[in-house]
Amino acid sequence: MRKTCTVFTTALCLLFLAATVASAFGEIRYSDRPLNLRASRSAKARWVGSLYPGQKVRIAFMKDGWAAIFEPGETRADESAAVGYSNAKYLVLKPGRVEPESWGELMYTPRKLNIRSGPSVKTARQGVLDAGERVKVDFPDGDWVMVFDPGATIRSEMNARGYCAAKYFEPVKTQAKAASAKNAERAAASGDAGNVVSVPSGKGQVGGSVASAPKPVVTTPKSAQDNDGPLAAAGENPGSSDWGKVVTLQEDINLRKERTSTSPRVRTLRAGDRVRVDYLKNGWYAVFVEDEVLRSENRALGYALRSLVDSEDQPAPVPAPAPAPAQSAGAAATQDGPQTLVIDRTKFTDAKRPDPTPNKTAHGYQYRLLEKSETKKYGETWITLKIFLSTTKLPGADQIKDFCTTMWTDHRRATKNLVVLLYLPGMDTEDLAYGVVSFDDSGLLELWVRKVALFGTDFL
Amino acid sequence: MRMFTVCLVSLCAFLVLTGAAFAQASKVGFVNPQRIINESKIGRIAQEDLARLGKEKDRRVRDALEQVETIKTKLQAGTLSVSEEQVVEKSLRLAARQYEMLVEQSNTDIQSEERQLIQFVMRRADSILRRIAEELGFTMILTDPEIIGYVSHSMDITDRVITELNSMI
Repeated sequence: MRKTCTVFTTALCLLFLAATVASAFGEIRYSDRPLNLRASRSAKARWVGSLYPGQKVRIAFMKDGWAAIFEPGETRADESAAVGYSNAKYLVLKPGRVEPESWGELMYTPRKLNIRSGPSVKTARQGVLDAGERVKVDFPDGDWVMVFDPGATIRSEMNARGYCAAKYFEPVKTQAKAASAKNAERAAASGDAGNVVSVPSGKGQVGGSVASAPKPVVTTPKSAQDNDGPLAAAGENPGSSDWGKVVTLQEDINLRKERTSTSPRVRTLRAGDRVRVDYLKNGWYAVFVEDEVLRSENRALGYALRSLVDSEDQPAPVPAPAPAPAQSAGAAATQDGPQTLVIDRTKFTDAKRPDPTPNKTAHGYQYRLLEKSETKKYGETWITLKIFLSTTKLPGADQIKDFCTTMWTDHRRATKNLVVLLYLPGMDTEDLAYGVVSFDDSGLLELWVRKVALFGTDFL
Repeated sequence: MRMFTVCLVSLCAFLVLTGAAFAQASKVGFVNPQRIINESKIGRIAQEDLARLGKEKDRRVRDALEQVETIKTKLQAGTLSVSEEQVVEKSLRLAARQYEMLVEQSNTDIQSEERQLIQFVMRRADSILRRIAEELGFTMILTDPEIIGYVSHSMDITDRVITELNSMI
C-alpha cells in the first residue's frame, strides 16, 4: 500500500514538473512596431504574416538574432509549432505602443469539410472540420481560404490549420440566427413558444428556451422600447437591434480613432447622450449612434474606454486633459478642474491642414493609414484604405504597385475587394486621391493615378 | 410752361440716374466652365487623367472579352464530351455576364469620375471667380452657357480665370 502510494505521488510530481516545463518554454515578448513574420530566419525568406505593434507573442529557439514566434499560450516546445520567424531586436519585454488590428473572419461551415494542405482538391487532406464548427478564415487564395483556430491571435500562414474551399463558409451571425430560428421552431413544436419571444415587461430579458443559442433573437415590443425609465437609470437598454447595448453616458467622454488613449480624439460625447456600444476588445468599446442598425465596426463613431462607458458603478474618472488650444471667450473655462473644449471646425474650413505624420514604413516609404472603411459597390464589398505617403519624389507606377500590393497583402479579406487611395504631401486628404489601386481577393485589378489631384502641391 | 419743362428735365435726370444706379447694382458676369476644362492647364490634366482611366477600364474589358472568346473557341472546337460541353457552356454564360457587367460598371465609373474631376477643377476656379467678381463689382456670375442669349465680351471673365488658374501651376 505504502509502495503504491509512493509510486503514485512520484508519478504525479513528475507529471506536474513536465507540465510546468512544457508550458514555460521560451519567453513572452511584445512587438514594438508592425512586424513581418518570415518562413525562416532571414529577411529574404517568404513573408508568412505580421504582428501588430504591442502584440503579445512567445519566442524561443533564438539563432543569429532571429527567434521562432509562437502563440502566447503555446505549450509545445517544438520549433514545428512556430508560426513564423522574426528579428528578435524588435521584440521587447514590455509592451510600448499597442495598436491592435483585427484579422480574419469568424465563420462556420454548415457541412463537414476537408482541410487540405494547399488551395486545391488535389492536395493532401490534413484534417476535417465538423459541421457547425467555427473557425477564423483569412489569406484568401482564389476560391480557397486558410482556416485558423477561433482563438488564434497571430496572423500567419504558418499558424493556419490548412486550406478549405471558401464557398462552404458562412458568417457566424447567420449561424446564430439559424440556431435561434431552429430553437424557436423546436419550442413552437413543443408548445412552449411563449418562451421564445419575450420581454413583455420591458426589462430586456431573453426567453429561457433561446438562451442556449449563441446570440438569441430578442423581439422587443414597441412599448418596451419606449419605456426607458428603469432602463435609463440602469444605464442599459436592449434597444431595437439585437446587437451591442445601448447606454446612457454618465459623464462626458472622448471618442478616440483607435483603441489607444494616444490616438487622435474624434469626438466628445456629453453626459446624458445615448449611444450603442459593442466590439469590446482590450478594454475599449466601439461606440455607435443609438439607432445604428448595421453591426459593422467600420460604422463606429470612435472608441471609448470601457471604464468610462460602464461608469455607473465606479467612481468617476478624471478625463485626460486635452492639449490646450487657443481659447475663445465663449469656450473659456469657468469651473475648476479639467474642461473639454469643443472647437468650431467650420472656422478653419478654408485653412490648409498640415500633413499627417507617418508612423509606419513599407518599401522604403514612410506612410500612415488614415482610414480603413468598408462599403458596398455594385453588390460587392470594398475595403477602402486611405493612406498618406510621405515622400518628396513622385512615386512611379511600379513603386505604387509594389507598395499597394503590400497593403493589400496585409489587409485583404476573403471574398472582399480592396482599394488603396494614396495621398501625397500637400494634398487635401478629404479630397480626391492621387493613386487609386484596386484589387479583388486574387490580385490587382486596376492601377490609376490622378495627376490633377496634385494641384497646389510641390509635385505639379 | 416753364414749370412743366423744369419738371420734365428733372424727371428725365432722375430716371437716368436711377437707371445707372440700378445697372451698377446688378452687374452680371459670365464664366464658361466648359472652356475652363478644355483650355486651362489643370483642365487638360484632368482630361488626361480621365483618358488614362478610360484606357485602364478598356484593358479590363478587353481581358474579359478575350476570356469569353477563349471559352467560345473551346466550345466550337467540337472535341468535348456532352458533360464537358455543359460545363463549358455554363462558364461561357458566366463569363459573358461578367463581361456585360464590367462594360456597364466601367461606363458608370468613367461618368462618375468625369463629374468628380470637373467638380475638382471648378472648386479650384471658384476662389479665383469670387475674387474677380468682387474686384469688378459683379453681383452675380452665370455659369450656364445654355441660358445665355448674348453676353458682352467685357462681362465674360473666362479668359481671366483660365489665365490665373494657369499661373498657379
